[in-house]
Amino acid sequence: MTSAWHGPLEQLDPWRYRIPIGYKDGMRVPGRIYASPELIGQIKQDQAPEQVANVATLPGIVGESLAMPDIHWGYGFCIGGVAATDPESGGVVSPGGVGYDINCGVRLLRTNLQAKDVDKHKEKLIRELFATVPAGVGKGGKYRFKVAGIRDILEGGARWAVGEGLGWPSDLDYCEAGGALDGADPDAVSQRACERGNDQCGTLGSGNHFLELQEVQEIIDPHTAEVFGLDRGQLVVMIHSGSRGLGYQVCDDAIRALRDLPARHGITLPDRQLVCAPVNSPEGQRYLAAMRAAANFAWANRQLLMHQVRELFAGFFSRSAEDLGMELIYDVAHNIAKIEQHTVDGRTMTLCVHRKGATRAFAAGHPELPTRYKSVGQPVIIPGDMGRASYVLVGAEGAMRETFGSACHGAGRVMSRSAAVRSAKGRSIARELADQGVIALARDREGLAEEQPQAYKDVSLVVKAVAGAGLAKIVARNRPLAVIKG
Amino acid sequence: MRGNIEVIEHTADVALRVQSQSMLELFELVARGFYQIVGRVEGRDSPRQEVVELAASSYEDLLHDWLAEVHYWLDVRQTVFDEISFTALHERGLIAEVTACRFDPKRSRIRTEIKAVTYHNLEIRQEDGLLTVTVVFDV
Repeated sequence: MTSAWHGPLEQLDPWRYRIPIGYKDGMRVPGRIYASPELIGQIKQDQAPEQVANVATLPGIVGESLAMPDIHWGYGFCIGGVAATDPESGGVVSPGGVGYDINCGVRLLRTNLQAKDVDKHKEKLIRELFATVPAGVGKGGKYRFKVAGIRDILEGGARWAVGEGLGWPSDLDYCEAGGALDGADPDAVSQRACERGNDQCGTLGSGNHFLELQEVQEIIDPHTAEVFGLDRGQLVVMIHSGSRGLGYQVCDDAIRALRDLPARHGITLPDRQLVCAPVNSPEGQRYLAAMRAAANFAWANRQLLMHQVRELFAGFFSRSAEDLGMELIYDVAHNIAKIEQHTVDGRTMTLCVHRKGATRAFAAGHPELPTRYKSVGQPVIIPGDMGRASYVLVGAEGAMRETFGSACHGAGRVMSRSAAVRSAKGRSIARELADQGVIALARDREGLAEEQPQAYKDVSLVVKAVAGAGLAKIVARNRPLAVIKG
Repeated sequence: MRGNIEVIEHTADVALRVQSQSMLELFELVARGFYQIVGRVEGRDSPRQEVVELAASSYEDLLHDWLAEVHYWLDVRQTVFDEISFTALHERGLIAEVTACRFDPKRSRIRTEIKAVTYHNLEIRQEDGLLTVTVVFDV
């Protein structure tokens, strides 16, 4: 699983590498990895490039099999993988191109507080958040639903939450897909998935999920930052979570339902985790309907998490969240498949775009963007690790031309969880971070050790490669102040 | 000879390698290995007998589904299988009689949240009379 990759990689320019179409039997298109000389050595340390080649064998794939600079090994698609298929020519949809954590994603909300003014309160604030926002292994939350209630969430996503008074109507304008995908079918979601999710809406989860207070440390693009409502020194809040157990079960159910299908359709797959169905088949449509429902659950989840943050801030500062300026800057998915229109060789095509550990990055003028952002482009929110930086980017024309409007999603691990725990022996990760001015809280020492900064790539290098390739532009760099790890 | 369970590191996830001389034992040991990864459960209720019945089209798919079932009972029903006895196990399906025990998650030391049983490189190999399988879990 972690053996180095020795396949052919042609460097096209400082930011683009190609896996030639003839590398592997069955490749229908070449592979393209966005990276840099600083990253490429690490990228070849696992089999992720092989997964890029595998994806290139999928029926109906258009353009190239793509990977962003945070590429690393995943199930089916690599993490950082992007691929578009043409439903009209038998193009497929693959759960492996979305991932188990359907609509894992991230949102960023602004405040009109300055980080320096909050500094003396940050420990108390993060501890109160830690006590309030459910986080960690198996943790359920205060919002519990019977199956009938979950149906509303699966259909309505963040729109449902706002309708229940758990958010502001304007939140939906600043959420990808308006906080819910149409075409979700709760009946396509199994009883088991609903059981796994019934007390998990409004919870952070575990692993690399987090809630973080950040300071906008540097503005690189002042005009776009102003449009986004970002200012140097400002306190912002980043939330990273997904569809929790419900999404995982939807993916597992889908793989089980589809696992014998490729053979029936005469499709040979190099990897079982690339199991798929033609988009326009009943099975493909059923998966998309279930995936959309799970994606909506994730948007509702992040909406409820944000609502809890707003409520707590209001109580803590004795001012309303509106008064504190706690507007949503944007919410992006980074594990999803969507039907989108893109221009390919001068022709407008309707494609099924898979983004697996990749973020939508639409450029200025796109009709799906909120009015306020149309002149600059879509915010692309890139979480880093808890010791270094996170970034706000903006989608650029290069993404529209080359990557179906996609960019990276984060950093990616370089150390196994157990290696990270071993390396933390005799160290206090919490104290090391505190020495850097970061308060980090997790349910236990092991959880924090697993998520230590050294376990991750340097996201700055990832972002530099994305910007160098023209897929997105860097708007701001944020530094962590205090974090709750799931 | 009793089989062998080994937890293997992986960058983002965790894997289990199990070896055994029989398919029956292999299926039992993967469940034991699963619980080993998850951690310790405490606050057990009185045990009760349950039956798990599954159908699949290959041993690998069956093994995946078996572990998915073990996972479901742990995650949703807060129940572990203390004893497992297969009354039927073949390529197309299994019937397991299990001694199931509900536990108290608040009193338990769940170390790792397994989120999914994957199919990555899932293959039961036979060599020199020994069956080996490696299962990767998304955590």
